[in-house]
Amino acid sequence: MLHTIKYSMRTVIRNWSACFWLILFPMILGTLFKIALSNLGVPLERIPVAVVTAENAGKQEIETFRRAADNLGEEDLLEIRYCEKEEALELLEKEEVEGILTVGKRISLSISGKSYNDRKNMNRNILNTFVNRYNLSADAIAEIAVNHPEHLEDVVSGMREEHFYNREESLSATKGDNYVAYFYNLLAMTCMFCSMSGLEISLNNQGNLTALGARRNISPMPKQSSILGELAAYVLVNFGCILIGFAYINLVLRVDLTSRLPLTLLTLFVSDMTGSAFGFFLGAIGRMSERTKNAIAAGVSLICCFLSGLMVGTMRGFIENRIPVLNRINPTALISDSFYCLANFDTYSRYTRNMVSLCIATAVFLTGGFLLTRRRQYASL
Amino acid sequence: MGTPIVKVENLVKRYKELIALDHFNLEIEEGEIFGLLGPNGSGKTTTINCILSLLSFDKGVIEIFGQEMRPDSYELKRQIGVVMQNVAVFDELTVRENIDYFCGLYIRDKRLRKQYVEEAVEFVKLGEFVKFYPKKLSGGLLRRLNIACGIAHKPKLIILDEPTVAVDPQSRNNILEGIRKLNEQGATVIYTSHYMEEVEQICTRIAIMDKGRNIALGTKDELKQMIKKSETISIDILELKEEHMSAVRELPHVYDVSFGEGKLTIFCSGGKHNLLRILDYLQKQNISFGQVHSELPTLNDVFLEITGKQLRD
Repeated sequence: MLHTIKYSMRTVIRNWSACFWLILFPMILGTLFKIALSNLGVPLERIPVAVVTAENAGKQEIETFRRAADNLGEEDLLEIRYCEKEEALELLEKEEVEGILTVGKRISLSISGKSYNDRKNMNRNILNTFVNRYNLSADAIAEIAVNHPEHLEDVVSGMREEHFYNREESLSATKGDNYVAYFYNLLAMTCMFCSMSGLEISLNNQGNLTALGARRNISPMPKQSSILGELAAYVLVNFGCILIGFAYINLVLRVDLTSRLPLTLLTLFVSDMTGSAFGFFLGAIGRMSERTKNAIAAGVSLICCFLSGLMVGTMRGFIENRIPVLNRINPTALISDSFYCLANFDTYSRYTRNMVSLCIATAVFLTGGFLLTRRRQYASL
Repeated sequence: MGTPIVKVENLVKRYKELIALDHFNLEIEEGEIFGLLGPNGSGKTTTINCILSLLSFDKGVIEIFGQEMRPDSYELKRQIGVVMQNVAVFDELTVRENIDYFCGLYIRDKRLRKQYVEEAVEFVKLGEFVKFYPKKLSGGLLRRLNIACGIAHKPKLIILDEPTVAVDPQSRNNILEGIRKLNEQGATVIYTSHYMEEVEQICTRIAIMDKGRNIALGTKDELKQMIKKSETISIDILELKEEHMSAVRELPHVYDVSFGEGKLTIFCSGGKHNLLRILDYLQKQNISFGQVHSELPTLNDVFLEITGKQLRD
């Protein structure tokens, strides 16, 4: 069997098309994902504004604004520069600030009349919202001061504190990131493309499908040994190829998929076996041509990827709500969910369930494949 | 006679309504180069595939080295080398690697295998190309690689199924010469072809197949003796009177005469010195003649006479 493993490894390493699907394709698609999705989850930049005092404003208004601005905190949106009107206009002209806030009893916003891009428009909207909210509060305080002066202090102190009635709390010590799910699916798809290797093994060992299969069938090496040797070689080489793609995504694209690295690698390895076993089983069914079987393998892999959310991020959730059993038998969904579990959950129950399902699927595919390709005579060649 | 190396008894193989092998019988002795000759579709490859236990069959018995051949007869398979009609090599492996891979399916000892691979490379004269990938080889060289992969393990029985299809004349001669050498080294050879010249050239015994049946069996001379025609003589003559035609027809062993477009054709059955006798008659009659050709019967003539059609129909 070592002899078969040795030459099968050489064969698959020198097979350029296999390397493309397992190394280059995830690299290319991963890079595209990175470009397309990199803005998701990135914090917004603070908006620079100039603050000037209105001609009729007193010290109290300025002080009130300062307190309100201080209350915004470090992580808030405004980067404030207090200055004179002329300087503020100059900054606006140079586009060093997005707008000028003129502070009086109320505040007003001045912006440049130049045409702006989407980003600038968004900043202008944010400033507008801020100004409106501030003025509403100022009006409310003024009205309470006139009608209910005894409650003024409570109202002002209440406004100083921003109340949050719910709080985001992570369920685990791990960090979740929604757009990383696309990369989980990408890795799952790469593993499913190992089905091409399994398919080749199946075809190369059937005497009625290929000349190589016929030659192997008349050799004294038992078919099971030949197939197992080839499977071992292909799974190992494929795993190496997947690791290259995985390293590229982590190290070059800087998408961190390394939560619990040993288990992540185990998941990749098991998934590689599942993909190969699936292809092997598919190749053993019927007498369709190699091209037809290749097309079926690629088609099934893509459908599985679609259902697990590679093309539409919400698809897996949609299926979970309507046909959950599909997510339990779709290898791509199981692989992708395993990565998700490792990244987001402290417990292993769901991860273990996924891995057991993948192992069962692998065993079923291999057994089916062996039964269909076992040593036998063919009715026709 | 000892136990035949290959014995096929009453072999029947059907593809639905089509009978591919119809109670086919065959016995091949040790040391023979046995030719299976027949037109395309006559059942040669089906016979080979049944012998190798690659194809299932409906009826009959196949024994190799005195043992029943089955899909799991691994020890029997170890002694058989097969060169299939279709080239079966790995595109991703070099010439040497391909030979080593297939030899390794039979020979476990690394040192012995290395020696066998070198000998196979030398045998098919691919020494200059050992590091080449199959895609870089010409059709003839590829066929030679295919042969090397089939015989590198030095089998006792070698089966070659149309190994010279689509091969240039030089490579074909190399292949035929190689088969003779293998036989001299002790291998029994089964050779299938629809090229009668090749079969005549190298085979010690020949079975002619048609429609899944063995229609004639023997050495090439035995086969040729089965038919009436033994010699065809053609003589260029400008003019020949009917009386001379009749006289020639009356000569011993002549069974048919025809004349047309300045050529007299005489068909003889058996006998010796037919040509001398005819030329002697023409000289005595002062009939001037030009070029003279004498052709002995071919296997195609045998096939034609038995089946009424050409081998390459």
